[in-house]
Amino acid sequence: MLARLFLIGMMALATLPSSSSQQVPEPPGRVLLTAAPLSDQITALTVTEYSGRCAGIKPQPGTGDGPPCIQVKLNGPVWRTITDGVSSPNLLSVKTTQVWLLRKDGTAVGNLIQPMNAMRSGDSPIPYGVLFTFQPVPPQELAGVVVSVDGKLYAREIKADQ
Amino acid sequence: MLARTFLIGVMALATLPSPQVPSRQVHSFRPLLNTVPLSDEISVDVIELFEGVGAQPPLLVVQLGRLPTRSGESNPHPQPLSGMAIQVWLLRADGTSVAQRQKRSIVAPEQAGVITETTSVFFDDVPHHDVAGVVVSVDGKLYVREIKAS
Repeated sequence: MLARLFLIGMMALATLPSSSSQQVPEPPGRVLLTAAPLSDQITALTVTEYSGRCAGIKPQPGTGDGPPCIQVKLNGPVWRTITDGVSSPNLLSVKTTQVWLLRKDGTAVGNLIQPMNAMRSGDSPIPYGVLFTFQPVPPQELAGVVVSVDGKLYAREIKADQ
Repeated sequence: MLARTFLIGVMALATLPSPQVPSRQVHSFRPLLNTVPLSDEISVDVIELFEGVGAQPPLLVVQLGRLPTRSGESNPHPQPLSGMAIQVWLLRADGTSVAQRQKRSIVAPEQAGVITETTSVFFDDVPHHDVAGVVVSVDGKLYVREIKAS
Protein backbone atom coordinates (compact mmCIF):
# COMPACT_ATOMS: atom_id res chain seq x y z
CA MET A 1 0.00 0.00 0.00
CA LEU A 2 2.75 2.43 0.96
CA ALA A 3 4.69 1.53 -2.12
CA ARG A 4 1.64 2.24 -4.25
CA LEU A 5 1.12 5.61 -2.63
CA PHE A 6 4.76 6.46 -3.12
CA LEU A 7 4.55 5.46 -6.77
CA ILE A 8 1.43 7.59 -7.24
CA GLY A 9 3.18 10.51 -5.61
CA MET A 10 6.20 10.16 -7.82
CA MET A 11 3.98 9.97 -10.90
CA ALA A 12 2.18 13.10 -9.79
CA LEU A 13 5.43 14.98 -9.37
CA ALA A 14 6.63 13.77 -12.73
CA THR A 15 3.55 15.17 -14.41
CA LEU A 16 3.92 18.60 -12.83
CA PRO A 17 4.41 21.24 -15.48
CA SER A 18 7.05 23.79 -14.72
CA SER A 19 5.86 27.26 -13.90
CA SER A 20 7.27 28.49 -17.18
CA SER A 21 4.93 26.25 -19.11
CA GLN A 22 1.77 27.78 -17.71
CA GLN A 23 -0.53 28.89 -20.45
CA VAL A 24 -1.22 32.37 -19.12
CA PRO A 25 1.86 34.32 -18.11
CA GLU A 26 1.63 35.89 -14.69
CA PRO A 27 1.81 39.67 -14.57
CA PRO A 28 4.97 41.11 -13.04
CA GLY A 29 4.77 41.58 -9.33
CA ARG A 30 6.98 42.84 -6.54
CA VAL A 31 7.74 40.23 -3.93
CA LEU A 32 7.37 41.71 -0.45
CA LEU A 33 8.09 38.57 1.53
CA THR A 34 9.27 35.04 0.95
CA ALA A 35 9.37 32.88 4.01
CA ALA A 36 10.94 29.53 4.70
CA PRO A 37 8.59 26.64 5.48
CA LEU A 38 6.27 27.49 8.35
CA SER A 39 5.35 23.89 9.04
CA ASP A 40 5.05 20.51 7.37
CA GLN A 41 1.85 21.76 5.78
CA ILE A 42 3.17 25.12 4.57
CA THR A 43 6.30 24.64 2.54
CA ALA A 44 6.47 28.23 1.30
CA LEU A 45 4.86 31.60 1.92
CA THR A 46 5.03 34.42 -0.59
CA VAL A 47 3.55 37.91 -0.39
CA THR A 48 3.48 39.75 -3.71
CA GLU A 49 2.29 43.21 -4.68
CA TYR A 50 0.69 43.53 -8.09
CA SER A 51 0.38 47.17 -9.03
CA GLY A 52 -0.83 46.55 -12.58
CA ARG A 53 -2.93 43.44 -12.65
CA CYS A 54 -3.54 40.84 -10.05
CA ALA A 55 -2.33 37.36 -10.89
CA GLY A 56 -5.16 34.96 -11.51
CA ILE A 57 -7.74 37.67 -12.17
CA LYS A 58 -8.94 38.37 -15.68
CA PRO A 59 -7.89 41.80 -16.99
CA GLN A 60 -10.57 44.37 -17.57
CA PRO A 61 -11.88 44.20 -21.15
CA GLY A 62 -10.02 46.40 -23.58
CA THR A 63 -7.35 47.57 -21.19
CA GLY A 64 -5.29 44.56 -20.30
CA ASP A 65 -5.17 45.95 -16.81
CA GLY A 66 -7.02 44.63 -13.88
CA PRO A 67 -7.41 45.41 -10.28
CA PRO A 68 -4.13 45.80 -8.41
CA CYS A 69 -3.84 43.71 -5.29
CA ILE A 70 -1.59 42.05 -2.79
CA GLN A 71 -1.55 38.29 -2.88
CA VAL A 72 -0.46 35.82 -0.25
CA LYS A 73 0.37 32.41 -1.65
CA LEU A 74 0.82 29.39 0.57
CA ASN A 75 2.40 26.32 -0.92
CA GLY A 76 1.77 22.91 0.51
CA PRO A 77 3.25 19.52 -0.20
CA VAL A 78 2.18 17.99 -3.50
CA TRP A 79 2.49 14.27 -3.68
CA ARG A 80 -0.88 13.00 -4.84
CA THR A 81 -3.02 13.73 -7.88
CA ILE A 82 -6.56 14.80 -7.24
CA THR A 83 -7.76 12.22 -9.72
CA ASP A 84 -6.81 9.47 -7.30
CA GLY A 85 -10.01 10.19 -5.50
CA VAL A 86 -8.15 10.14 -2.22
CA SER A 87 -7.16 13.47 -0.79
CA SER A 88 -3.89 13.90 0.99
CA PRO A 89 -4.32 14.62 4.69
CA ASN A 90 -1.66 17.32 4.44
CA LEU A 91 -3.22 19.17 1.54
CA LEU A 92 -3.78 22.87 2.16
CA SER A 93 -7.34 24.02 1.67
CA VAL A 94 -9.17 27.31 1.95
CA LYS A 95 -11.53 25.54 4.33
CA THR A 96 -8.84 25.06 6.94
CA THR A 97 -6.64 28.06 6.18
CA GLN A 98 -6.96 31.74 7.04
CA VAL A 99 -4.65 34.65 6.35
CA TRP A 100 -4.53 38.13 7.87
CA LEU A 101 -2.51 40.93 6.32
CA LEU A 102 -1.69 43.37 9.11
CA ARG A 103 -1.36 47.13 8.74
CA LYS A 104 0.86 49.13 11.03
CA ASP A 105 -2.15 51.15 12.22
CA GLY A 106 -3.63 48.13 13.99
CA THR A 107 -6.13 47.16 11.29
CA ALA A 108 -6.15 44.28 8.81
CA VAL A 109 -6.37 44.57 5.04
CA GLY A 110 -9.66 43.42 3.54
CA ASN A 111 -9.98 40.63 1.03
CA LEU A 112 -10.43 41.64 -2.60
CA ILE A 113 -11.86 38.29 -3.64
CA GLN A 114 -12.54 35.00 -1.95
CA PRO A 115 -9.51 32.79 -1.30
CA MET A 116 -8.83 30.14 -3.89
CA ASN A 117 -7.20 26.77 -4.01
CA ALA A 118 -4.17 27.17 -6.26
CA MET A 119 -3.95 24.61 -9.03
CA ARG A 120 -1.17 23.79 -11.41
CA SER A 121 -2.43 23.70 -14.97
CA GLY A 122 -2.19 20.56 -17.03
CA ASP A 123 -4.27 17.66 -18.15
CA SER A 124 -4.97 16.78 -14.55
CA PRO A 125 -4.98 19.98 -12.47
CA ILE A 126 -3.06 19.46 -9.27
CA PRO A 127 -3.69 21.51 -6.14
CA TYR A 128 -0.51 22.84 -4.64
CA GLY A 129 -1.61 25.51 -2.20
CA VAL A 130 -3.98 28.37 -1.47
CA LEU A 131 -4.12 31.94 -2.68
CA PHE A 132 -5.46 34.87 -0.68
CA THR A 133 -6.03 38.14 -2.55
CA PHE A 134 -6.18 41.41 -0.64
CA GLN A 135 -7.03 44.98 -1.52
CA PRO A 136 -4.02 47.04 -2.60
CA VAL A 137 -2.32 49.10 0.09
CA PRO A 138 1.06 50.82 0.08
CA PRO A 139 3.58 48.13 1.08
CA GLN A 140 5.23 50.45 3.59
CA GLU A 141 1.95 50.39 5.57
CA LEU A 142 2.18 46.62 6.08
CA ALA A 143 3.45 45.21 9.36
CA GLY A 144 3.19 41.51 8.68
CA VAL A 145 1.17 38.48 7.73
CA VAL A 146 -0.44 35.88 9.96
CA VAL A 147 -1.41 32.43 8.74
CA SER A 148 -3.74 29.99 10.44
CA VAL A 149 -3.74 26.34 9.42
CA ASP A 150 -6.01 24.03 11.36
CA GLY A 151 -6.14 26.60 14.15
CA LYS A 152 -2.39 27.01 14.56
CA LEU A 153 -1.06 30.53 13.99
CA TYR A 154 2.15 31.66 12.33
CA ALA A 155 3.32 35.27 11.99
CA ARG A 156 5.98 36.81 9.79
CA GLU A 157 7.05 40.44 9.55
CA ILE A 158 6.96 42.34 6.28
CA LYS A 159 9.68 44.92 5.90
CA ALA A 160 8.94 46.94 2.80
CA ASP A 161 9.85 50.47 3.77
CA GLN A 162 11.09 51.45 0.37
CA MET B 1 -4.85 34.15 39.04
CA LEU B 2 -8.45 35.40 39.03
CA ALA B 3 -7.53 38.15 41.44
CA ARG B 4 -4.74 39.23 39.14
CA THR B 5 -7.09 39.26 36.14
CA PHE B 6 -9.61 41.31 38.11
CA LEU B 7 -6.86 43.72 39.07
CA ILE B 8 -5.86 44.03 35.43
CA GLY B 9 -9.45 44.84 34.55
CA VAL B 10 -9.70 47.52 37.18
CA MET B 11 -6.38 49.00 36.14
CA ALA B 12 -7.43 48.93 32.50
CA LEU B 13 -10.71 50.68 33.17
CA ALA B 14 -9.00 53.22 35.38
CA THR B 15 -6.91 54.30 32.43
CA LEU B 16 -9.90 54.96 30.18
CA PRO B 17 -11.08 58.55 29.90
CA SER B 18 -14.50 59.26 31.38
CA PRO B 19 -16.48 60.03 28.18
CA GLN B 20 -16.07 56.47 26.95
CA VAL B 21 -16.52 54.61 30.21
CA PRO B 22 -18.57 56.64 32.64
CA SER B 23 -19.14 54.01 35.29
CA ARG B 24 -15.58 52.66 35.63
CA GLN B 25 -16.87 49.71 37.61
CA VAL B 26 -16.08 46.18 36.61
CA HIS B 27 -19.20 44.06 36.89
CA SER B 28 -17.67 40.86 35.65
CA PHE B 29 -14.91 39.66 33.43
CA ARG B 30 -13.93 36.66 31.36
CA PRO B 31 -10.26 35.84 30.75
CA LEU B 32 -9.57 34.70 27.20
CA LEU B 33 -5.81 34.47 27.60
CA ASN B 34 -4.12 34.34 30.98
CA THR B 35 -0.65 35.83 31.34
CA VAL B 36 0.95 34.08 28.39
CA PRO B 37 4.62 34.93 27.81
CA LEU B 38 5.34 36.63 24.49
CA SER B 39 9.04 36.88 25.07
CA ASP B 40 11.50 36.81 27.94
CA GLU B 41 10.41 40.33 28.82
CA ILE B 42 6.70 40.66 28.04
CA SER B 43 3.54 38.72 28.81
CA VAL B 44 0.01 39.19 27.51
CA ASP B 45 -3.47 38.92 28.99
CA VAL B 46 -6.70 39.14 27.00
CA ILE B 47 -9.89 39.71 28.96
CA GLU B 48 -13.48 40.62 28.29
CA LEU B 49 -14.80 43.22 30.70
CA PHE B 50 -18.42 43.87 31.55
CA GLU B 51 -19.25 47.07 33.36
CA GLY B 52 -21.92 47.46 35.97
CA VAL B 53 -23.83 50.70 35.80
CA GLY B 54 -24.72 52.39 32.55
CA ALA B 55 -25.16 49.37 30.30
CA GLN B 56 -21.97 50.14 28.45
CA PRO B 57 -21.02 47.58 25.83
CA PRO B 58 -18.38 45.19 27.04
CA LEU B 59 -14.75 45.71 26.17
CA LEU B 60 -12.01 43.44 25.03
CA VAL B 61 -8.74 44.41 26.63
CA VAL B 62 -5.27 43.25 25.69
CA GLN B 63 -2.86 43.99 28.47
CA LEU B 64 0.89 43.70 28.04
CA GLY B 65 2.97 43.34 31.15
CA ARG B 66 6.65 44.05 31.59
CA LEU B 67 8.82 41.97 33.82
CA PRO B 68 8.82 43.59 37.23
CA THR B 69 11.75 45.82 38.01
CA ARG B 70 12.90 46.01 41.61
CA SER B 71 13.93 49.41 42.76
CA GLY B 72 17.58 49.67 43.58
CA GLU B 73 18.55 46.91 41.18
CA SER B 74 20.54 47.64 38.13
CA ASN B 75 17.90 47.43 35.41
CA PRO B 76 18.66 44.61 33.00
CA HIS B 77 15.93 45.89 30.68
CA PRO B 78 16.67 49.55 30.21
CA GLN B 79 13.88 50.19 27.73
CA PRO B 80 10.43 50.59 29.30
CA LEU B 81 7.23 49.47 27.56
CA SER B 82 6.37 53.07 26.93
CA GLY B 83 9.58 53.43 24.98
CA MET B 84 8.81 50.53 22.66
CA ALA B 85 6.90 50.72 19.41
CA ILE B 86 3.92 48.52 20.28
CA GLN B 87 0.95 47.60 18.14
CA VAL B 88 -1.73 45.00 18.82
CA TRP B 89 -4.20 43.20 16.58
CA LEU B 90 -7.06 40.96 17.67
CA LEU B 91 -7.74 38.51 14.87
CA ARG B 92 -11.24 37.40 13.97
CA ALA B 93 -11.74 33.94 12.56
CA ASP B 94 -13.25 35.39 9.36
CA GLY B 95 -9.95 37.03 8.34
CA THR B 96 -10.74 40.50 9.66
CA SER B 97 -9.55 42.16 12.86
CA VAL B 98 -11.41 43.69 15.79
CA ALA B 99 -11.64 47.47 15.76
CA GLN B 100 -9.25 49.12 18.18
CA ARG B 101 -10.41 51.90 20.49
CA GLN B 102 -7.29 53.21 22.15
CA LYS B 103 -4.03 52.37 23.81
CA ARG B 104 -2.87 53.46 27.24
CA SER B 105 0.34 52.86 29.13
CA ILE B 106 0.65 53.14 32.87
CA VAL B 107 3.33 52.59 35.44
CA ALA B 108 1.89 51.29 38.68
CA PRO B 109 3.21 52.77 41.91
CA GLU B 110 5.98 50.90 43.60
CA GLN B 111 4.72 48.18 45.92
CA ALA B 112 7.07 46.08 47.99
CA GLY B 113 9.94 47.40 45.96
CA VAL B 114 8.43 46.26 42.68
CA ILE B 115 7.42 48.59 39.87
CA THR B 116 4.90 47.15 37.43
CA GLU B 117 4.48 48.65 34.00
CA THR B 118 1.60 47.73 31.71
CA THR B 119 0.17 48.78 28.38
CA SER B 120 -3.54 48.25 27.73
CA VAL B 121 -5.16 48.22 24.32
CA PHE B 122 -8.94 48.41 24.15
CA PHE B 123 -11.07 46.84 21.44
CA ASP B 124 -14.72 46.64 20.53
CA ASP B 125 -16.35 43.58 21.93
CA VAL B 126 -17.11 40.69 19.61
CA PRO B 127 -18.36 37.21 20.42
CA HIS B 128 -15.37 35.57 22.04
CA HIS B 129 -15.67 32.49 19.85
CA ASP B 130 -14.99 34.79 16.87
CA VAL B 131 -11.58 35.78 18.22
CA ALA B 132 -8.88 33.53 16.75
CA GLY B 133 -5.79 35.09 18.23
CA VAL B 134 -3.79 38.10 19.30
CA VAL B 135 -0.79 39.55 17.50
CA VAL B 136 1.63 41.92 19.19
CA SER B 137 4.32 43.88 17.41
CA VAL B 138 7.19 45.03 19.63
CA ASP B 139 9.69 47.22 17.81
CA GLY B 140 8.71 45.54 14.55
CA LYS B 141 8.93 41.97 15.78
CA LEU B 142 5.68 40.02 15.67
CA TYR B 143 4.40 37.66 18.34
CA VAL B 144 1.20 35.68 17.85
CA ARG B 145 -0.82 33.60 20.29
CA GLU B 146 -3.93 31.56 19.65
CA ILE B 147 -7.13 32.17 21.58
CA LYS B 148 -9.21 29.04 21.91
CA ALA B 149 -12.97 29.38 22.01
CA SER B 150 -14.26 27.89 25.21
